[in-house]
Amino acid sequence: MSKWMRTVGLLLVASLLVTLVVGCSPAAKPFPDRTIEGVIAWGAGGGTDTSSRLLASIAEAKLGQSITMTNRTGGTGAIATQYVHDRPADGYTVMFHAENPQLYQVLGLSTLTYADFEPIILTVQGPTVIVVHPDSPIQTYEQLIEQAKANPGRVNLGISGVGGQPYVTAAILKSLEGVTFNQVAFDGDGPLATALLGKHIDVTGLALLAAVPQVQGGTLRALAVVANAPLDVLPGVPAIGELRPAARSMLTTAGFFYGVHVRKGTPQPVIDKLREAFVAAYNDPKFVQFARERGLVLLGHTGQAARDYMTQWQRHMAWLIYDAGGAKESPAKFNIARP
Amino acid sequence: MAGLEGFLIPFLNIELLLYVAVGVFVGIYIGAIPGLSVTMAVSLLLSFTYAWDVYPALALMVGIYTGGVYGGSRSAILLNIPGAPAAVATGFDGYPLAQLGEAGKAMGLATTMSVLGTFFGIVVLAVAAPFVASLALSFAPRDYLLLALMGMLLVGSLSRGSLSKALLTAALGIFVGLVGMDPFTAQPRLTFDNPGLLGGISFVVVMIGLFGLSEGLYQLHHKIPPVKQKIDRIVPDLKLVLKNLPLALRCSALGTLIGALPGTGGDIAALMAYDHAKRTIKNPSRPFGEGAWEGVVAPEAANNAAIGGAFIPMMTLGIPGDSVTAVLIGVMMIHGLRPGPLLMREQPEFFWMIVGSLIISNIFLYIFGMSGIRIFSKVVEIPKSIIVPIILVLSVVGSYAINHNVADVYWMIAFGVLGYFMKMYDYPLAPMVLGVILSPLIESNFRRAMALSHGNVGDFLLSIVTSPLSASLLAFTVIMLVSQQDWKGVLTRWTKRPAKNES
Repeated sequence: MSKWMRTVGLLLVASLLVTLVVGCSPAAKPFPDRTIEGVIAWGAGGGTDTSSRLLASIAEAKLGQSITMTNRTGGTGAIATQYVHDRPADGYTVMFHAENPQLYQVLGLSTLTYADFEPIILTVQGPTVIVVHPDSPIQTYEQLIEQAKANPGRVNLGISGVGGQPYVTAAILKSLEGVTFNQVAFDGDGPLATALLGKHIDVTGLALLAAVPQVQGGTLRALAVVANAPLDVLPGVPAIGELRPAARSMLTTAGFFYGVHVRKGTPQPVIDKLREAFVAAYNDPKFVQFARERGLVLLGHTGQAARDYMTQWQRHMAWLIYDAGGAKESPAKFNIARP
Repeated sequence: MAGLEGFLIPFLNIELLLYVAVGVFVGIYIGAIPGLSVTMAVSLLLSFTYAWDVYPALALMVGIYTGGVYGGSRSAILLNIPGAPAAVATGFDGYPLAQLGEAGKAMGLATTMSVLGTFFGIVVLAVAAPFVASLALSFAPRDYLLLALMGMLLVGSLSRGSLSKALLTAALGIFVGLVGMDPFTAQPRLTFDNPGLLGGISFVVVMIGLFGLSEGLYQLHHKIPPVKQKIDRIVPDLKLVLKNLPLALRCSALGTLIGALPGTGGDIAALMAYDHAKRTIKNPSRPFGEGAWEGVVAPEAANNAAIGGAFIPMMTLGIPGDSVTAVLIGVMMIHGLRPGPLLMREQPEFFWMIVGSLIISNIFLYIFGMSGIRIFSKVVEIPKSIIVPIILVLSVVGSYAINHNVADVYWMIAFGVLGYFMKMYDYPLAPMVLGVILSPLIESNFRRAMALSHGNVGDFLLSIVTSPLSASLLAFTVIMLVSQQDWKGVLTRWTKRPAKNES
């Protein structure tokens, strides 16, 4: 090799190195200067997915960068949670998830919880609705409890898997009324609604989004809302908090919630920037309308308020499930205080 | 019928026509590339189209759906790599046809039958949606179990020579399907404390590995010379179409019903249709597995008919029939509609607009499907030194694209290598994919049915016999088993046995 070629080669390598170093330096570029990856922990078309995609598409405009949304499903969302936690804490990977991580420890699914993340915003919250088929002899909540007491463990209650909302509802009913059901697992709200419509199960607790259209259409009958207050979208359906005032504290946070999170350790300016964009998206009339029409309760919690809400939720639900015999580990092991 | 004017909406609006056309065209390519799925494309569009009107968004997605289901057959016929799970069965006879130089005609027939199947599904959707929806609802967990077991009988149809080899690979497939979180207790199974395995191994990854990578490796090893393709006649002659019409209609009916059942879709429909063809057609044009036209007709009619079927529970009840209709429900929600039992009553024009868009997409499917064949046929003539690296790259990209997970790529490679050795030692690959697809269906529904009978085996069996639907499904399964048995052979073996003992 000639000396000349070696010089040219060295020069080329040097220039490459220079570009590399310069290119990688944190040269005070304002966040975000590239595309953000949005990870949805639940499947396409579901409640988490639809609300997250709507929210993200408004937030993109405020951030001035696009957010590419991907669904990473499996393990009740534990796979997405692990993935986002493994990514750098730079705000370029944002997680869209529901309440599930707060139960991962007691259910033995993962060591991660929302304590390992920084909340950007908690958007909406919604309760579970206890529903039966319109042909069912069970007309009211009281009749359901009577039935379950007369046939302990014989009434078929459909659940969407361990830790899902119908599962939590069964735990609430056990703690509140001392009744047990024969729990049969289905693959989510859609299959659950199908099984009830086909009369293959007796009763289930459907998430608000899945329950409202069926109840309004007269294809399912709602017995009660698992919350403290009844819902505008379901007039005439009592809330359990009204029927059983003793349950009010247990029900303050009951139900699901959706939120946006980044890994803990993300720089504060980045969190602020993301929060600003997502709060603006949350307040956008289009999102507000979307939530209202479905009877979702708008939360809008950020920072400490969001953390408090999630801690409260975790304390109630983790102990509830543990007391109902549905947990693998005691919440005490993870320093989750009894409410 | 109220809202019937909605049917004409996509016909009268040039913009909507264009969206459907673009959707079908893009869909064919998305469907043809393994790993890129229709679900992925429509969920990407869900974010993208939120600022649009609802009609253009739905028109585009309906187009992609129709094109995508059909597109999978392309790569199955040309490369023996199904572009989508629904096209697995198309490759069984489609690829041998390409090896005979008939790729053009096979694609032409696949296109014709896809169009026919889609049309059948649309007609059922338009005239009998409420009836089929109530039929679909009457399927209890035990009926899904029986359906899946009926699907398992396919192992017999898919074995080439040795039944025990086919059974072994099917069992391996079922085993792979068990990996991940227990659907009932959330207990991790066969995950070896690896959180990446909690979600199980995606059957699309298994499919890409077994069919894609292993095919690439196999072709590196065995130098199959490129086959010169006959491309003078692409449009299948009327005689062939008419001869297969009864089969196509039967498979379309099967496809529509299976598509309408929430939890089963085009992939299972196509496999069962292939099985049906193999059992009922006594004199195929060539033996099945060696390039029978019937083996292309059945799955292609069934998987496209499943589209119309999947819309049935979505439009009548607001319950998705598959993952694509789940996203479409999301689109309607974002646009302020309320998909559910009231939609048909309150806004029937949406129902008819979807039916109209499906009809248009079917017309474009025929146009784009037929016009691309000549160029596509050349794929088989490309030298191996060029096509094999492309297959390998597509396999890696495709398996990564499913869930953006590198672990999926490793699994794909593992199954690819396994598939290569299976091919070398004459183990059929298809039963393994069948096992992975049916494993969760069998397991979950068996446990569900048992739980509903309070764990009592007697009650469980009684519930099968006393329910008219379950009893007829069971009867079908038994007939399928018995009718295929070579009773004469069994009889002679029986009569010969004592003679043997004496000697």
